[in-house]
Amino acid sequence: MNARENIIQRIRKALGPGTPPPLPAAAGIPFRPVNAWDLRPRFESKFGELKGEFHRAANAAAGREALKRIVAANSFQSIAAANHPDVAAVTEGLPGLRVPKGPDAAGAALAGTDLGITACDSLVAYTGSIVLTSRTGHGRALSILPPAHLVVARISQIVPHLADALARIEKHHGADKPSMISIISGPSRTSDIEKTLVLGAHGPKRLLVLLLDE
Amino acid sequence: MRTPAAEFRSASARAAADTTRRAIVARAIATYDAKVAERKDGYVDWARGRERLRDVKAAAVARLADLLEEFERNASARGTIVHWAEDAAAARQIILDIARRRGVTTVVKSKSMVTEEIALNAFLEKNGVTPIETDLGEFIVQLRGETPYHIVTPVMHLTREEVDRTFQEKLGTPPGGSAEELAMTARRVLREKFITAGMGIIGCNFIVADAGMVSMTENEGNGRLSAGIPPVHVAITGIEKVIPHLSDLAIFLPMLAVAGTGQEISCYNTLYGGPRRADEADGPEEFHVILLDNGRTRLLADAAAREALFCIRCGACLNACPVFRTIGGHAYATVYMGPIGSVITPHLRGFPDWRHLPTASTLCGACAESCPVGIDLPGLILHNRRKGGVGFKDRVTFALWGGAVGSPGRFRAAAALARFGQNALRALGLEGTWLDPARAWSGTRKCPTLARQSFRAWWKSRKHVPRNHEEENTRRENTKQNSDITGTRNEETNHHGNTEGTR
Repeated sequence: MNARENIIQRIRKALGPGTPPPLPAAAGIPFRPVNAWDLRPRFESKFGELKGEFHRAANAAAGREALKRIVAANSFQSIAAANHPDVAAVTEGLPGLRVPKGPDAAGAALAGTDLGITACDSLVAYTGSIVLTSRTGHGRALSILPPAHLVVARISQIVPHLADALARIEKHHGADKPSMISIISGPSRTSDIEKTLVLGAHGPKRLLVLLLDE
Repeated sequence: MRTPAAEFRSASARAAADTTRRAIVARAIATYDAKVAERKDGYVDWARGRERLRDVKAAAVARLADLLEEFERNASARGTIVHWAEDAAAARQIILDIARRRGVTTVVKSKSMVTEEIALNAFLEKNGVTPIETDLGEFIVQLRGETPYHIVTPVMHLTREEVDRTFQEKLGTPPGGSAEELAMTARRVLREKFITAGMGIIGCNFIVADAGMVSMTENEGNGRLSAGIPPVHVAITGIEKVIPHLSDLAIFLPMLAVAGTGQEISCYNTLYGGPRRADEADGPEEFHVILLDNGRTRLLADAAAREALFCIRCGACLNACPVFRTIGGHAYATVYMGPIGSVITPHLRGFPDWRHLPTASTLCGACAESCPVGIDLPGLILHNRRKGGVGFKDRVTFALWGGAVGSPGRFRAAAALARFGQNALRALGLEGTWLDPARAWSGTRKCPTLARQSFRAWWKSRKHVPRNHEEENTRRENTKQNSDITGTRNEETNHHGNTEGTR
């Protein structure tokens, strides 16, 4: 018998015969509800508490202008953007921009990048979190390696709770899920040294959201 | 070769005397306590959340084999290679075999107590593979050649100055670094390692059966980098970390964050379910998940101890425990310290060597109150004490104690003897010396002085103060009827004419 069989057998023997109790039915969550009118305000407020930088634009055209201003204000020179329609809509005409493909998308190639721009799957109002995957995030490195990460989102993507975001992932992907799903709540941080909060431990020191109203 | 029990006794005595170190740890825990209290307030019903977590874990553990098989099916379907490791040696070998096959010389790893449990780093080094800790706390631990002090915050016992000195010594940085500068130094040093390493190893917080994915919680992003950049990605986890549904994470992740670090939610909660897919821009070529037993099936087989497997390794019980707060994490000399450590270590590593750990507890219950999954830790500690067996010295002590309190007469005699003994020892200046039978206490503590008169004696001697004339008459009548019961019957009972013995 191999290790797998041994372990499974030991488990079954330990638990003994008989049917286990039923799995608990979906229960109410112990979190305060978020009203529909409060979705964007709450997200903005929570995201700010987490030291995220919130920007808003009425539509894609206004988004393009807003992004140009953000890039200029921060002197972001080398910018890598995800291959995604939401991102393409606001990065049109942006200087210094490239969409990494093939080996250019790998970690080493992104090393000198100042800003990574991705789409997302949803924004969670309750916690101020961003949910993205290795599809909307253009793989794995783009949303974690560059020192600044900007997420392009639409207002319809804001959901009340993490439970809603996970339900969306299930509904959208079913069994064919991306290889990585990441729930990001603020820029990278650590408090390992004397409980002093430091941002930018390994992941991005700056996390920005550009929210389009349509 | 000293036994672990003897080592523990001296290490814990040393640690308890180190008041400077204790103050540093106390400050860290006080910061944590304040944040946790605030976060719990934000919940509509934290208690209901705890019940929910416990129900889900109980159901998952009750179906452990089925759920692990379901996980394996769903994970394998998307290219994950699932390995089963019966013990630490098997797990280490699986990792080394992968590294050798892929020509890996450097491994970046995130913080993982399971990798500590299997003593992975030393093994890899011995076999020509360099493991690099990337979590800032573990990075510092690795530089200092120590072990983690706490399962969640590895260097909660160090000051910024101590970290600064370590960096000066080992990395050649200039002195006087602030916490931010030190963290940025680590970021700079480790960046290049993430990019050049041949393998990234992460621990897991949950195994999600229906999604065929593992979930990893962190704040720094070093796990995301270890799982995103190197061509080979390995995740290792204990088999007990299974939860049935992806949707369960909606409550596990926030409550883990509150109990673990006093955050509403941790910075990066990430699910991994396979190597890079064809339509993904980058990602590892291979993804391995190692499911580790290493004694967990022994815990499972002990029905009274089984709920220890519900643990989500948040570390709240360590922070709550007065013993941990006094002796710190290193004195335990185990991978898992604090209350949960005292519960699982004897099962995982053997009762003969480790049964002393559950005796280092006051059974105050602070751990149970702090546990987000509602595990009955004091009950499990007691169970371990019984299972570990009571030693001869303890048997004698408890027999004497039982004798002394077995009857009121013997108790009075024992108290009188203790009073006499304390007075004599103090008069002769022998308190706390080897002649003092209570030296385990009086050697390091100021013992309270036993009262000159027992409460019982005082009660008997005091005069009754009548509330009113009628009561006094009734009382006198009733007292005449009761023969030997004095001083233990209260006024009310007398007044209601209850003449039965109701002591």
